[in-house]
Amino acid sequence: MTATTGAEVRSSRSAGVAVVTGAGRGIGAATARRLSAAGLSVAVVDRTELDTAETVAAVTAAGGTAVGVGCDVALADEVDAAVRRVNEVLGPVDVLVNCAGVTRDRLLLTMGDDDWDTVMDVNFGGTVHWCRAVAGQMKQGGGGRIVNFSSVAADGNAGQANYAAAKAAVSGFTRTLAAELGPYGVTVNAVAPGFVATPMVDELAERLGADREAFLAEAATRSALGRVGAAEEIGEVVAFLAGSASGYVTGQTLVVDGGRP
Amino acid sequence: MTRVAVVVGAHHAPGAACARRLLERGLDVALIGEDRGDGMHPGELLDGLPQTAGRCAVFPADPADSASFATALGRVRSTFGRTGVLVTCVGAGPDAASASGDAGPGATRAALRTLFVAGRTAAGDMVGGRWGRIVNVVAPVVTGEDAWREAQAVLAGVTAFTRSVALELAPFGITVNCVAPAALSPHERPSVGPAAPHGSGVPYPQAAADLTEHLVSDAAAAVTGQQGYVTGRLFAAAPRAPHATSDRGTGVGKR
Ligand SMILES: NC(=O)c1ccc[n+]([C@@H]2O[C@H](COP(=O)([O-])OP(=O)(O)OC[C@H]3O[C@@H](n4cnc5c(N)ncnc54)[C@H](O)[C@@H]3O)[C@@H](O)[C@H]2O)c1
Repeated sequence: MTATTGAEVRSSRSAGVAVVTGAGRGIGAATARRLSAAGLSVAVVDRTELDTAETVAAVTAAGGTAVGVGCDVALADEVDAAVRRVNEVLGPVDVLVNCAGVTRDRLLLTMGDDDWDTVMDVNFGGTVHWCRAVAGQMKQGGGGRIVNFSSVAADGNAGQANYAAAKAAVSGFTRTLAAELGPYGVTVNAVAPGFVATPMVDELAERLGADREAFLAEAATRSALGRVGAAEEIGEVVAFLAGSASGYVTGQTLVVDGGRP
Repeated sequence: MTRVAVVVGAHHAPGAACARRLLERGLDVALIGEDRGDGMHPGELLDGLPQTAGRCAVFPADPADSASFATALGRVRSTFGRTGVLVTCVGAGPDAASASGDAGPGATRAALRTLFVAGRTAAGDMVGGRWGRIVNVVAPVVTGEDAWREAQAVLAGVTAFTRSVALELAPFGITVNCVAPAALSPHERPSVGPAAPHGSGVPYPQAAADLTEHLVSDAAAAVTGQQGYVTGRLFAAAPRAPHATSDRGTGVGKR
């Protein structure tokens, strides 16, 4: 998290309201903390309100304003209810970060319908539901920032046909929505992380029966910088795309992967 | 090269053009899809083709439903034989992106699920023969100025699926490629003058069939995971004339 004193946070409190989905842990949690440090009030969204508790506590301990909202992003009704709750507690949404994501890695020939649907409905469906639910208030408010989450896997990856298709669809949808909402002053971009050390990759290492440190070390060789990314580094890029400095950037997917070796 | 091709999405003009081309090349073509009365006419597809054309039949199924598709493919196997070629043509957009829309992620979700179900099921058939050709064809649903915008999510999903599955199926001698209109490429910018760069030449369905014909041939064995953007002309689909029902149904047509 960026070093910011509580006084600075409070003095810039008028920066607006941000929603970060999947903010209970990992990149979403780091992003919520970073946006709070930039002065935004943050709605911390994750599967259950309990899942949001740690992030809400971290934000408020640092002097920020946060509210935890339980919501399965794959379900349009739950998203609509979550938006109503955010509006009641914090006000209209200025910044939306769609970070909630899941993987169900399988080779195509053994991939079940549920593996396909879950990955599509959370990663892509969740993004569309949230964008649709807040686009109206951003238009009315005269502008806004949407940051979606793609992945470098969207370039294609064996064992991830579902995830690659869903994340690529997020990038495509980001281009579409940018064209649609551009006239209203709303920018829509995506971030495509490479390998970032979060609970998601810890779980992956565990599933593969790999030693965590060895797994991360091997991943590090696949970046020009020779290391894996930190959740906070992704949060910094999101903060840029969510802030005023990126006003002329829209429809883009920004790859944050440490470069190609 | 195998003689049996499955075409999904023949109710889209590029799907129908691909089916007709494969028939012309002598392949037996199974049309799997919902029999909605549009584009699924073996008699019409075979019309004017030479005696050497393959056989054609409709196998009604919901191509996005695993059980339904598997049943249809089983019937294709007993009618024509093991599937070697799969052409899946999916419509591109629109999803309800704006606040006014009600449909949510429906269009992209449905298109990509069809790609997944058809690809997984047909690949299962191809693995045994250690030869296969899968071509995923993007059909713009919206034409005109909005076509680029509305196609982006499906186009990107098709590309990523194609590249991922190509990596997985290469060891089995199965290639996987996709075909899309150049005008929909994310790198395409709005035309600045009256001479749109992709506004001339053959219609897109024909251009898509030209490339598909090559991709399913033995000559294209080394081409996989690729996306072919073809510069065919996008046009608003003309309403189809109503057809007599005699050439419909699951009867096997043969020229
Ligand atoms: N970690 C990486 O290397 C990496 C790489 C590329 C892309 N990404 C993407 O970045 C984003 C964050 O990844 P992460 O590594 O922090 O993952 P993570 O698994 O650590 O955290 C994801 C969070 O999303 C929540 N979530 C999952 N499904 C949800 C649902 N249906 N409704 C609400 N919340 C839900 C989870 O509970 C979790 O708190 C994801 O979209 C992921 O796909 C991560």
